[in-house]
Amino acid sequence: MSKLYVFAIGGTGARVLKSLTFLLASGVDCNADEIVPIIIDPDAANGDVNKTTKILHSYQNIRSKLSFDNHTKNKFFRTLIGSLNQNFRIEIQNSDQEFRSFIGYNSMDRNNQALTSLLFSQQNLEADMEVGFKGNPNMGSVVLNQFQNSKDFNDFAANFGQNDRIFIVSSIFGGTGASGFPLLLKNLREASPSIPNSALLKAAPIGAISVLPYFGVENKEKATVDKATFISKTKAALRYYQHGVNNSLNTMYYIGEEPKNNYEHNEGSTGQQNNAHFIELASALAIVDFANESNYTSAVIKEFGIANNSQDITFSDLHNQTKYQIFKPLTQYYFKYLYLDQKLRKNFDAKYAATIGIDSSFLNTPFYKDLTAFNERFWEWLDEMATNKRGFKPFTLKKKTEDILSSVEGIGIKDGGFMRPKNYERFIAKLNKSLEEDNPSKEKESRFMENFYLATDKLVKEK
Amino acid sequence: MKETVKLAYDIGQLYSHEFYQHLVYTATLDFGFWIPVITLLCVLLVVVSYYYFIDRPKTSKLKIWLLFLGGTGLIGGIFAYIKANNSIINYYYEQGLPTPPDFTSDITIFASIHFLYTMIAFFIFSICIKWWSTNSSHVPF
Repeated sequence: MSKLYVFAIGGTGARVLKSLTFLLASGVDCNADEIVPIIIDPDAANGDVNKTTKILHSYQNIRSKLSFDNHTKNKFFRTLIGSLNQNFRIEIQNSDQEFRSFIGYNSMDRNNQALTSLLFSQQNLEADMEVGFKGNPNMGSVVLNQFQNSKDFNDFAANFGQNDRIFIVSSIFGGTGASGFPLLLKNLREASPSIPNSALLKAAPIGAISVLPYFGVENKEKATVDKATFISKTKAALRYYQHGVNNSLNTMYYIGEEPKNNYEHNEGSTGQQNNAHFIELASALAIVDFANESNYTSAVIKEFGIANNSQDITFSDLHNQTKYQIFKPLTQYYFKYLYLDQKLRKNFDAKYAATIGIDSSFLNTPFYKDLTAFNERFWEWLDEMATNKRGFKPFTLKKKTEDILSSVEGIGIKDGGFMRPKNYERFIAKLNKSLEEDNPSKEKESRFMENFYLATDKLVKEK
Repeated sequence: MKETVKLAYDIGQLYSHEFYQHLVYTATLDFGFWIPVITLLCVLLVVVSYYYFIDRPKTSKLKIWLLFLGGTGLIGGIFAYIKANNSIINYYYEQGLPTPPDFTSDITIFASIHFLYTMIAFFIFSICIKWWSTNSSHVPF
């Protein structure tokens, strides 16, 4: 069993993790027996973190009802997502107070207070860390340095095995990610002997992605996050990474985008809930790329690019490798979503439904309710990426269309010929045909998922 | 064999004596045998078409199958009525006999029984050959 521990630091980390979850649900190949997400964010109420946590829970619930063996062809939800604890988070101790109290400013002597005032502004000292570090990595680097002492980090180390790997996701232009990433890496590569499996951690293959600025924030009076500082902070961090980080990693991924969109300013908490962006999907692909590597050398640097400089990216605008990786799985899942949303209830009398036993009672099972909730978030994710700038719009995103096989932008999916079933009817015909590979001894949930995987596989392959 | 088939149409013994004689005993009037034989072949053809040539998700529904069942039965009944009527008229004409008596009610009973048999045949053929159909093997049940 090889696990891939994915540390997702800050809001960007959580959003990349969300994209990874959708990619895994759609069946993107990932060479890991289990993915274990670990979120590092002192902002416990962060909107992005909460949303990602809910999506991860839904994924786990759905996955727990599915069984896989050597004959299973289904790739939907195939990869196991594990967890260290209930909320996937490493608890940052004592981070629910003002920074001034955390560092014991008031108990310092006059000289130390003066030195501290050189390093931290008055605004820094008065900042409430309950909502994160508000784009201040100088604060984050002090607070996050103690997470190695937490119980959660200890549990992670104790569970770490021989062939396990680590991947770290962070942004370089914020507060939590920019400060947390180098600290985490240092704590892994220079793991204290008191930490369980410290030797394994030191030698473990570690990959990381650092997300360069790809969005701005609206200018607001008294705003604590200023987009004008993003580039200077990025330059400073990159200079440090060049010598202090890149060489400690097996593979380092860099990704960025000219910011074209200003998000509403939020200091953190529930208000921080940014729309999904293509950069996050591409960053999630870096995790998959790392997982699929067979030989880990050291200090390999990778970047991501697209083939055409399009403002609304479709599959045709991607390089072949990326297109090959995501076109089929995402299209299959998209078709599955549309069918379940629009047609399932109206076709309980179809052969596949009658054979497997898909009826109104099946729709009321916790499994199907979890799947519906997960699918709604999937649609929302696609919709947000489509409307963001730059956009990623590989599908028409029209729910009510009957012309489902024409809903992939720029790519025609084969439809029925003269007198043959077309569109949704063709879909149902494929679902019926896929019953030839049905295994009635399996549970209904597994048969249902396998049937939909095989049918959408046939539909997409026949393009 | 022929007689058995012909007698199967006498359930209820509702025919007039003259029609019964024609149906069962008149040697040159074999409509009571050929109508079911031709119908059986046609029903088989329709059932095979339904399950293997048409075989679409849209048609693999109980109500569509019932439409096929009823439609085939109706066509079978109409076919039986016309064929029986023509056979008897031809028989009288060829034999140089005077105008035949009015067999309308007899032929209607014959056609109605044939309508039922056609539907039973459709049902039996469906049960026998539906199993290998990709989209419709679950119809009618």
